[in-house]
Amino acid sequence: MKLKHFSLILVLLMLSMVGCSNQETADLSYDGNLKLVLPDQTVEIAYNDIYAMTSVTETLKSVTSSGEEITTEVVGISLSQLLESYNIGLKDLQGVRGIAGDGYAIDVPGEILTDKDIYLIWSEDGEFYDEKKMPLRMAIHDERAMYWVSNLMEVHCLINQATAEETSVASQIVFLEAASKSLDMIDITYYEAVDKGVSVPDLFTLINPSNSIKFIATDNFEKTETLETLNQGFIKMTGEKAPLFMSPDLPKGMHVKYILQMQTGDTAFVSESNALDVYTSMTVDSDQGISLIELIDQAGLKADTYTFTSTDGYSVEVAGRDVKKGILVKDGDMYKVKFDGLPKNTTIKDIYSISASSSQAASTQESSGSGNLVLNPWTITFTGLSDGSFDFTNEKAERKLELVTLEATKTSKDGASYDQVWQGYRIKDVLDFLHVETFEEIKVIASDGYEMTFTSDQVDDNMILGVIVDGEAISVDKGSVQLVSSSMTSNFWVKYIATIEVK
Amino acid sequence: MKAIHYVVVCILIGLFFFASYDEFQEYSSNGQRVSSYEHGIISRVYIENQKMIQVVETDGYNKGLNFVVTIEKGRIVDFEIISHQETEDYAGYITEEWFKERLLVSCVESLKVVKLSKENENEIVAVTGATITTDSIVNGVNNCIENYWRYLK
Repeated sequence: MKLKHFSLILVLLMLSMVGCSNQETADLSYDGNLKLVLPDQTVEIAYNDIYAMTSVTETLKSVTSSGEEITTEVVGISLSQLLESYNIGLKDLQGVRGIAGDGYAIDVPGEILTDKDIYLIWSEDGEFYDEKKMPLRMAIHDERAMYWVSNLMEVHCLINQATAEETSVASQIVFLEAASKSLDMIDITYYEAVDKGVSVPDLFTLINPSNSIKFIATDNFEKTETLETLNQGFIKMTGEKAPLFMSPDLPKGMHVKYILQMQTGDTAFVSESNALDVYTSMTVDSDQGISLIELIDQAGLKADTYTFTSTDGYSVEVAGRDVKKGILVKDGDMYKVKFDGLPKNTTIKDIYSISASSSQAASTQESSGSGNLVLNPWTITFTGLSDGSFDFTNEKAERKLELVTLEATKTSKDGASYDQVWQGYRIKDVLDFLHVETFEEIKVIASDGYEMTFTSDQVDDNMILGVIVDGEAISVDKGSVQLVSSSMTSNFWVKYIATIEVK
Repeated sequence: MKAIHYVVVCILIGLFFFASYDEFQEYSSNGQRVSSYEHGIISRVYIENQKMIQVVETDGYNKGLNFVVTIEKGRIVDFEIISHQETEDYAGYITEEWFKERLLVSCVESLKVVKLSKENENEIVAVTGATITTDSIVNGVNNCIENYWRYLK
């Protein structure tokens, strides 16, 4: 063979090697089926059939946990279009769960689905995936990379049926830092540091967990996980990103950093250290802390009185209106609660828990319309506020304010007097809620035009928006809500309230 | 001789030099290459004084995870990542000094990956979120340890 031929063969060989390395010529094929769990059925679609569907090419951006943005051109199919063939709208779902071959699972919440599609993709920037990422990847534009599930095996369409447990109301707060001190702390190596933490199963021996756990982080990130998943993990209590839910057996995308609250069953675990960074700052005497009522409110507790218990078992019961004057404050390496204007023995050092007192929980239940009592809806428009007007509704009152009891004397037109027991919301609390700090008077205007003006001195703790009288809800024909004051005769009371003007 | 012959000769000379070039020689400038101990994922072995310097070419979560391990007097004395294709956000930490130091341990026993915290000298805590990458590295290092003891016998 001549040298010319040899060099020609050499060149051809080199060219063929280059050709072999071009993945674009490879045929895309993957054995197996994608499991698609729909609300009323489960279907399996062969991956090869998905590859043969009409594909779309999109430029999508993912955001890593460190904030890095990665933009890629992807090829795949639209999940919303796929679901349309089953008469399911992506926007109607509560969420979509993607499950990878290694068990990694994540729920895409409904808020994301309202304005974004999910793509099931098989190519990024012109490259097919390698074996570990095959056969599909879930992708959502401008969302965190944890939603971009590689090696996608299952897609579950979540509907609203499972929310009852998630929305269950907490009746106690247990502080994470205090609770963890009562448990065996273990070493957790987190990157270069060796931190301390507790196992979730250990932590949950202190309470009665439900099957779902809702996390809220300090950056308002919310996530719901199953008890089964939580039980694999740990809460790292010290060091970077603490408290941090993590597990070496779970992908990093399932970790939850800077936990503010973790609710399961009737308990909301709250991180004292992170609460101090998040809630409104308040000062009592010379101690600066955060608003206790805000913390309690965010945890979903609602009662007329609350029981505060320290790690040594000492407890006090404090009325809801006094709790509004309370703060949570750092006290050395512990945390304490104290209340403005209350005796010193109500200060709880090394606070462990706050619970809604059981006797009061019943009245809270009553106010929320459970049992035999059904409250009627109402709306009062508050005007003259610093930021305009505000429609204050029965729903807001039930969620944000305490229902108080008031004994008042009603005088009828014939001059007869009789005592009544009213339940309702203090006008002062409503004004507090609306951030009214000072006012000279309020004008209460009924829907029939009747008006009554009260000076700020007259608006005392005995003036309420009454919704229940002698155990009966105020009927719609009486306006559903009445202004009642035990400090004044009943001819000052106002029915059919439409507007309250703050001056 | 025609021009094409010059070209072919140049290509052949180039190929010869390319074939004899050792891209990993920089990791042991004065060492003696011991090819007979190169096998599997261990692509280079050099002996330099009492040190055994080994280059590992393996795969992590992604393909192409290359590193060099130096063992001296029964102890890992150096570890260096040559190149990797791992996702920075997850496994980029393998190039950090603290991860290197985690591997500088006695190699009387083979190393073992643990998940939370180490209790014994030969235990290596996996990088959080990068267990597969850590497994690959520890597996490569264990190959080097085995090779080292085989050489000393």
